[in-house]
Amino acid sequence: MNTAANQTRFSALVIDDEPQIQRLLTITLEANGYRVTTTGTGQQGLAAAAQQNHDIIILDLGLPDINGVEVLKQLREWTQIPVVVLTVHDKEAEKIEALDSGADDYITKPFNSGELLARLRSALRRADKGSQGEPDFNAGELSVNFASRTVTRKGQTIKLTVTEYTLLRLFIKHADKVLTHRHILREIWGPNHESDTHYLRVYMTRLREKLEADPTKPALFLTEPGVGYRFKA
Amino acid sequence: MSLVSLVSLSFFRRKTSTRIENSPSQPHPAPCILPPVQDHASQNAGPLPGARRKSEITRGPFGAALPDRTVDSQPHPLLANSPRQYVLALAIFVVVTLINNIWLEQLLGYQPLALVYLFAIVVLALFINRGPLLFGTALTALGWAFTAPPRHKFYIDSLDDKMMFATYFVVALTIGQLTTRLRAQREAEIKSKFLAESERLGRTLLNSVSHELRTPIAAITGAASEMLNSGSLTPLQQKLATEIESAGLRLNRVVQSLLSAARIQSGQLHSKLDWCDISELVHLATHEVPSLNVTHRLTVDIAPGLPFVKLDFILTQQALANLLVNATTHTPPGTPIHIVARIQNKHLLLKVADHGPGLPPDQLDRIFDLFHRAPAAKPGGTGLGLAIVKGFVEAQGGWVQASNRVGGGALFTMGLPAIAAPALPAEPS
Repeated sequence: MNTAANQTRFSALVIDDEPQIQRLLTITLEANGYRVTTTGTGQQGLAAAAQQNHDIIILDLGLPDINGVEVLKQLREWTQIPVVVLTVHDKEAEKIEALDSGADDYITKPFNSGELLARLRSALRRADKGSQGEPDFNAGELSVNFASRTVTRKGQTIKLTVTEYTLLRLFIKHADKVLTHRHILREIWGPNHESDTHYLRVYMTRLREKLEADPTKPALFLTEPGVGYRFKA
Repeated sequence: MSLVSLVSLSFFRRKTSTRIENSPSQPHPAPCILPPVQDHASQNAGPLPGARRKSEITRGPFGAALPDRTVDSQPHPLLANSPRQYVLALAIFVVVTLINNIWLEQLLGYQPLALVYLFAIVVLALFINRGPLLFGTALTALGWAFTAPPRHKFYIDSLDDKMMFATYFVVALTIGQLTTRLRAQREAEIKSKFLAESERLGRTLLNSVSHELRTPIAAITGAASEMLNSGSLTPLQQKLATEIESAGLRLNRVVQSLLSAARIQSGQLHSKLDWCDISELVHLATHEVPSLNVTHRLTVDIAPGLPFVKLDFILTQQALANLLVNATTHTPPGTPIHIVARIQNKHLLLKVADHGPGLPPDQLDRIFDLFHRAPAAKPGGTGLGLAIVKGFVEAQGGWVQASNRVGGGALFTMGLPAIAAPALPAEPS
């Protein structure tokens, strides 16, 4: 991404029509070292994204002129800049649509500023190392060697089936990112199985049983209710 | 802005009307699937003319403007039922026959009298239904046959007059048919257009209320949390910012409940059924009530090998969380709360049992009513929680039941239909 030598601060573009949320985001982000540009409509947002070089976009899905998901689709036609969408509690369909249209993450209003900053950091981090190959993976008790296809937990080798291993690799590749049910099903079982969520439930249970310290209280494979799963690295 | 009052207004309207519909005392449901509360109108097309109009009101979400315009599309109250329409048809026939026989017959001769009858039938067709109109048509046809020579006999002599009689009968019938059909069509159009419009209005209102309330709440909690994160506050400021943040979050929960209840009431709750892992669901529901394990002792008992169940994850999770909140607020600290999950008779039973004072037996039926609060309830509740539980499980074809445990304490049971998940293709390890 944009890491020129003279640029020490990340630049964020906020696309939200509510002046109150604009001010709040500006204050919060500037206090945490971001440079912030705000725009109030989808059209202005798209223009601003094209004209200036930003590192991350915070996009509200309820915009006055064009649907936020439409803005996202238009952005994805030419850029892979990380986009975090702002949404409200009971709009799961909207969240899924945004994620499937290329959003990197979503955050639900009302949000805690610490949570917002953490989501932005992890989206920026993913974008930064997106081009690198797969290194070995180590997090806590779990380590995966992609060359030898071995998975170990607490030093002990864990036997995984091919599907379980592919699923785990998909999660590691998109660590900290929400993967929608449809996305996972398409990647692992193919486009004909996009609605076979019980496949996914079965394999998530198996993965948790093999890899979680307490499978009934998952700490690695987190459920995003009604949306998908997030692998916490 | 009186958005809140609009929402609550719609609650009350809906509430009064549903009360009437459900009043045939609902016995306590045995574990069986109760029909989801949807189409009230079809359930009570009862003989009471008033009841019919009442159901029209319930059909539209945010029924405020509904009654006036729905009444418009109904016939005049005096003509609301068909016996009255038959009487009207008979009266018109008598009047027209008298005018014909006493005055017009000398003036015009007997043949044009058929036109006078036809005129009366056409006018009648604008106001009455098909049955009474047919009755009127038969009467007038006979009336004319009675006037035509030979007079005062139900017999027609000449071929001309026989043709005339037949033509009259067919034309009057056809006109009657066409007019009533047209009128029915117009009424149906108005009604469907109005329902669509009122649904759209309801949705828009919900969305704007949601947006107007949540934006300032997001600003309040967001700002308070950033103050706390900045780490430069004095201890006093820190306490105050914590207080602002937690008040904001509480306000958010209330708004959330109000919106959920409004969504249930306006019939805009659509469940999205998907295969769910029950232990995952229980885990996340307990997560929504962080105080649960601090103030009470929670035990979770999920039958081993419980299959996946097809249900709406979010609605069920929220319903379970509401039952847990209810249990924590109404039982003494330190007492145990149990969650039990079982499959029984192709139903998933999710139970929340507590060791509190239990429920007043005379309140068991009303406990799930909107805004209902037990007389002895502690202050600081909206009376929405249990109504939302009921709405959320019924939206998925389930039911909820409240009872008292034998050993003391309350027991809430949610039942949701559970069908077996299809088998997975085998995989080499």
